[in-house]
Amino acid sequence: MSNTAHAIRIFSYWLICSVIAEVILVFVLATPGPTFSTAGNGEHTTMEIMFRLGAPLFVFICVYMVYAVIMFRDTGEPETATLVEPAKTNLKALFIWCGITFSTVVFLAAWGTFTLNEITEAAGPNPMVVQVIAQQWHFTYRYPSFGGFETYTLAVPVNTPIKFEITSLDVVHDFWIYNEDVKQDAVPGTTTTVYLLAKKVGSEWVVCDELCGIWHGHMRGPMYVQTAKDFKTWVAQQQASHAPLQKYMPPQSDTYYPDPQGFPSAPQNSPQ
Amino acid sequence: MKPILAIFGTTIVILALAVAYIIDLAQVPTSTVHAASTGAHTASINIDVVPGAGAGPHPDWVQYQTFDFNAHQSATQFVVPVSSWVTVTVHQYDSSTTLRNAFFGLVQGTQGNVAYLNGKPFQALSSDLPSHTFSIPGLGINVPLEGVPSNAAANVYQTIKFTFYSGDKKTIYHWQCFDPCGWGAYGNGGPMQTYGYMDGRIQVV
Repeated sequence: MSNTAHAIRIFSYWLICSVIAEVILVFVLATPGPTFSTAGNGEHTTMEIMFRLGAPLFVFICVYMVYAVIMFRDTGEPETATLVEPAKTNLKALFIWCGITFSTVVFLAAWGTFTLNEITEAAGPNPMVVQVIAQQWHFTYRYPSFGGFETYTLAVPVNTPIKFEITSLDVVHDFWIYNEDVKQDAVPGTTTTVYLLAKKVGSEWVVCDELCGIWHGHMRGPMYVQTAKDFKTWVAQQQASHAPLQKYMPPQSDTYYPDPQGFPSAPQNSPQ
Repeated sequence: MKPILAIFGTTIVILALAVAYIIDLAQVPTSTVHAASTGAHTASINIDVVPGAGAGPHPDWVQYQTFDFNAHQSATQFVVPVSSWVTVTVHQYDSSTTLRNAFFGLVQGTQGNVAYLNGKPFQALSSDLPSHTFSIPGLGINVPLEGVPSNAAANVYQTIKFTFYSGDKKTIYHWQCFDPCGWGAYGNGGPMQTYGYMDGRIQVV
């Protein structure tokens, strides 16, 4: 069989498999984008684009590998002719393959960089800060703009830019507003941030997306998006129920006492 | 030895170890405590918190136990009736461990957002006083359990009592202690990470 015949066959298999892969990606594996906010739209679109552009490349590698294993295997018979011209001398094929893959990777890197920049900025000026405190095995939420009360559940007002300042008191967790593609690691000893602008009243699940111990599977709770009036009422209720504890609460901080034992303490002297 | 035999033997050994691990997990030395009915839509649960389990694979680990100090019987699975007020009485024998998150010093989710320490109502404790907490995040419940003085005589305990609503949904909640009373750098190892000690499930039926 000539090289051209092999190439046509490989191309045909690749085309059929790629179409099947794209159909599966678009109609079977596609996930709905954010429904409450626009914060995760860019991230969601980027994932879709990456999978759909990457699928034909992945399929080509698989098809070529399987084809080569079957068609060019050692049959034990003496070779009578060179079946395929060595690729190292086929500069045309080399440039085409490297050009396609290089262009794809550069395109996706640029897309991802712009999207990352977009989703890590607040959706408006003066966002409301909510501190997310992760601990084994529940997220609690502190509201520094309202006297610093802390709650078991997360509530935010609709159409208000929110800045989540996330930290952990023990191990690494991951704050994830499921279905909104809003997620960020919670790291002990530091603060990470992520933003949200909820466009619709309703509720969502907040889950931990980092395997964090025996009850990781239970580390989840609701997030309520409320009207401005309902949120004000909720804040007043929380402040009232939190009042007996207020005098015992430490001031707002990135991390809270006690520090984990066995970890090196911060250097006492200034760097020279 | 042929490679196929080596691969087969290794696979068998790994499978055997996995099965042994699962069997070991299934043999958690804990018991299920059914809330005792005390009337229409009311029930009660009595439990101990002891600093040393006294029995089982880790006799020196802190543990929630049945209401019999000498029985050394773990009690971390509870069954409570739906749509009911459940009164919990805890005999707490352990000394204090400072909370990492002062928030868990707040009594919440109980009837009147109050609990009773040796008969005296309280709504919050400073973070250095609790020894443990009894917390059900799914029901918004948290009760800090004050520790006994570190110089207290043996078998001295605090009695903490509170009542919570079990909810109108038949489901299973996770409960746990939020005080870093276990082992390791964060105090969340050992009994905090092992079934049958400082956490479990509450089944609403």
